[in-house]
Amino acid sequence: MPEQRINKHESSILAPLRGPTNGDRLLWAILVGLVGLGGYAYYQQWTSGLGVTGLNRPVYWGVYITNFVFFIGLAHSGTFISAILRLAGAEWRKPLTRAAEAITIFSLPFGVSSILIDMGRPERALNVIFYGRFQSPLLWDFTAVSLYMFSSVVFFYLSLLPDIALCRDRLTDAPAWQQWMYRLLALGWQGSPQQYHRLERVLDGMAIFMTMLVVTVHTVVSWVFGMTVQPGWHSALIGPFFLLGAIFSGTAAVVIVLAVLRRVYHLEAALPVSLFNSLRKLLIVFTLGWLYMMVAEYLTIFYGSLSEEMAVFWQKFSGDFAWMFWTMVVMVFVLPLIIYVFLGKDRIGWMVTASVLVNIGMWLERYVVIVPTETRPRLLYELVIGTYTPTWIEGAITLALFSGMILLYAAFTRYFPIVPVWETADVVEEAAETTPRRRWGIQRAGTK
Amino acid sequence: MEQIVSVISAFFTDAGPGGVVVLSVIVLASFIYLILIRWILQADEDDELSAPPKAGRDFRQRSFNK
Repeated sequence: MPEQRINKHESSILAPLRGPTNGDRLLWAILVGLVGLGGYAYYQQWTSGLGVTGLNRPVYWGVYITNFVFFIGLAHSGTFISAILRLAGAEWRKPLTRAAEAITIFSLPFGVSSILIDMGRPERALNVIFYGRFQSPLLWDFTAVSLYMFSSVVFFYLSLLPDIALCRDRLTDAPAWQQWMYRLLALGWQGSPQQYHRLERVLDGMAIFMTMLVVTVHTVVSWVFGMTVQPGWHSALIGPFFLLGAIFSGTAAVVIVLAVLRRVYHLEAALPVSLFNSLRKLLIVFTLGWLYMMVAEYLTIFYGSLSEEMAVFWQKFSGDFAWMFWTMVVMVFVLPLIIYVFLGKDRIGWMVTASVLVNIGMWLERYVVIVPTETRPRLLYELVIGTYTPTWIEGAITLALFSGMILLYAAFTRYFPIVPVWETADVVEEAAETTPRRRWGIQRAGTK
Repeated sequence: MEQIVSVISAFFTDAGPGGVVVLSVIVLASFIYLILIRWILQADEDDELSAPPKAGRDFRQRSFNK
């Protein structure tokens, strides 16, 4: 790569790529241990059946499906930050796009795994291919999530391509296997203005597609519930509600990840406080949007007062799940709104605190959406009252899924630049001024 | 006409064709993405092919050598 392409932030961004430290190895060992514990728990489930979990009749879906919805939601962060903000011409997103996209890439497989784990007989997933019926929301879900995962990987890889080539050219003292990996993945990228121009065009085009896909995916995920006639699920609002919650929790997750990366890898210059302030404004909007959805959903149910709907409604508001429901409200809405509005500006610590609360709260929200409905199903709702208590098997597998995701993410940041060098490089900005950038009526900052 | 309707109807109601949809979508996406990646990487070659050849040098030979 020509010398003039050296970004002023380049050295600081590439610094973490000098190999794992002892601290990394310790963290990785702990995470591998937790994944191993989850593997043992899954072995128990595999050999003994789903009876070792808390799942039963009529509560067929529990922690695993909660994890599925939560991971898919987290995965929306990358697409939102990278694709939607790209289309909106928000230039401030550039330093954090890869950190957000990496969340997408590393959370999606664990979302899909959650489904397979929940099935008990995972090989039956192939039945969707061999015997799938087009009218089944499960088939839509399978199609949408598969395409989303595949497209996200391509989108992520394309935006990573110039930086892989940078690693190939710069990290000549890296171990041989690492250099070989960079050479292989760089696909012979030369970094010419023509290549950058085409890359930008493809990424812009894919951003439109990814935006449509992200809306489709989480809406279809919600339809797995919404297309049933179960109380609490059968609502036209469930799609937008799921989508907003997904983008909300995903964006909050980006705040957490950015803060950790900034601290651990000393990326204060590349990830300035202003980034967090921009995310703070988005999160305030999402918090209020989430409240709007909550009120619209539950007020409508309350005024309808259908007996089967009210059975679930009161389970959440004052019944067995009330503690979880109100904890969720406090963690997703009350505390985060106070923190984001009054304490979050220029204070990363507070931003992280609120974002952690949001993510824990959003996990609880998924649980509260799924399980109470099953304990009070429409059919025989007066005769059957379901109960569900997760076992250690489900807890260990959940822990393993989150540990696996963190492990992959942490390992990735040690071998690939987590801040896109080429998108933040001044020289590329200058080169971009010589190429037509106005498309779809969107005027980019810095272009004429 | 009835047969056409029954074929279309069968696609939505019979077990099986759903998998064709899933695989078709993934295969089509793979094909498109492959073309796009090749198009990006070939930018230099295309640019060189569209540029007028310099005097005294064999244009095609220069391209093959690249």
